[in-house]
Amino acid sequence: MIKIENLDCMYKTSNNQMVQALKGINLTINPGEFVAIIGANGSGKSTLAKHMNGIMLPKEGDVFVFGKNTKEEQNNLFIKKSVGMVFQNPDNQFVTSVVEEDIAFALENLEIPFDEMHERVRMALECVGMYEYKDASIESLSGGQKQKIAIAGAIVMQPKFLVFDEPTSMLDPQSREEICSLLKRLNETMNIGIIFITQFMEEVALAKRVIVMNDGKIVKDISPGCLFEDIDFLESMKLKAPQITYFCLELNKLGENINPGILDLKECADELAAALKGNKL
Amino acid sequence: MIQFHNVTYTYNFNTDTCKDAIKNINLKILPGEFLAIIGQTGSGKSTLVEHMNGLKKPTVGEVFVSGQDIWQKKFDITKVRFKVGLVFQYPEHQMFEQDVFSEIAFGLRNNGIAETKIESLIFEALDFVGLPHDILNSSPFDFSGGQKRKIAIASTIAMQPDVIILDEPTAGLDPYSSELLLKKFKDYNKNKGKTVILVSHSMEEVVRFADRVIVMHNGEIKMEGEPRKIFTKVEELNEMGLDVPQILKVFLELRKLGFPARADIYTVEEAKQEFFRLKNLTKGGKSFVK
Repeated sequence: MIKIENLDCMYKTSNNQMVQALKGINLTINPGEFVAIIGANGSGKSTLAKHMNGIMLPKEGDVFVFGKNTKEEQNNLFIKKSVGMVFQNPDNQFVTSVVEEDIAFALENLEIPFDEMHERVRMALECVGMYEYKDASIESLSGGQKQKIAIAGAIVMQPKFLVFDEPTSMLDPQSREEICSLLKRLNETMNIGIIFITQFMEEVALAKRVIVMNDGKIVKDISPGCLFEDIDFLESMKLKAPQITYFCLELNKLGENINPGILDLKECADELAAALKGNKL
Repeated sequence: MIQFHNVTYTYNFNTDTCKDAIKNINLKILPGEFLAIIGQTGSGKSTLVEHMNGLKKPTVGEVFVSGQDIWQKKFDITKVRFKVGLVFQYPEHQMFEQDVFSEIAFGLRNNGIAETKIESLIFEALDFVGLPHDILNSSPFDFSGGQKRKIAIASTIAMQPDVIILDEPTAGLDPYSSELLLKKFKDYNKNKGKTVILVSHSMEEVVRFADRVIVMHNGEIKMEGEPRKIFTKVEELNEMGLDVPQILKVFLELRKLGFPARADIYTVEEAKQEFFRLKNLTKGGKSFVK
């Protein structure tokens, strides 16, 4: 599990002003959880994420990954293996130009035997549905495909957790959907804990738990369904609910018995159909 | 006005790896129009807009801006760049000045605007994107991603171009900032009569803000028209890897369940009206469920 205790993060701007990016964060994420983190731009989401696998180290407070403190240097390799990270821009995450080589890169550094390395690369690529592209040049792939390769590069390390910092924000709708269902699969079939930062409110529905950040603090830790019912709170955080939530809430206000916590489109249609049928004489 | 006449752009022209990024494009964009461009990644959207201010030169065909063939030998192409402002995808990755003032002033200075006028143009641009005036001495790199985006947009807006092209301006912005920014561009379009060209993956944005949408696929314009009409072609759009607004999908599901719901519902308000229309029908004792 990932355990964050009393984490503060300050940094100095070029004008020598101090900015506090994180303020007193306490958070525990258990193995196998699927947690979304949302919040306005500048609320501290990415800074928090970077503390989860030791890209940033706490000056105040502690981060533990399965009980090991990220601040202690001897834990470094364990932490990098346990918690992988995938970023927003698919172009900035590669070290080589050929798909297979890039996935194998980290394993080579760990001196994993050749046969095992080969097998793990194959499994990672199959898992993201990109094995047939193993000899392709990364340059020739689309944004969505590159993001899948970046994910394969993370899962080849057999992590317990994967942190995704807005992995879909540069992708077109179809690629976004593919990445979302991939995250779901990694969570459900491989039991990898997922920490998912996104600005797409419809995608939050994938998670079982949502953390809302504002001004460096965690202001809410809740289920997606309950979160979206409280539109006033969301809007005060510069966020919004998905379009269907607004619709269901409106109908509710007008006396219709529709559950406003619904996030699945088919369920929503069924709920509407039931309300319409209720009128049948 | 921007006009494309049989424009084709070929990468690696005359080599084995040549590929047409856009093919035989004919397009007219009228002054004061709010045009959206949609299409999958790699469909040619960015190449298309890079032709609009002369960043790319057609391999075949001509581009006209206000009636002028912009690649005619004696014509000074830099003139087009001041008239047609292009905000790239993730423009914050391309900032380079030491402070916000110089960052926004860069284009104005290049355009020969007098120093005395620059300050007021910069203040206006900051107001436009909703940033406070006291940030001008800070480094652009001190800000969060969303704020950097606003600074980058301000540096194009400061030039007050007749045409502004925005390549996915809201990607990665929080919903509140996205909404605010798009409303500002709608204002710029409506109140100042400027042309706005928006490349977007958000179908909800397109329906709400654009007068006309063109759909790019494999380097060609596959559809064009009013967003409300284009989005009724759900299957064709899906085949091209595109989406339709979420609320429409709910009503399409209702149709599958047997209800005679309209297939052009895009906003919460329309959805509400349609729900109560269906409810009145069922009140009459009609049952639509198979």
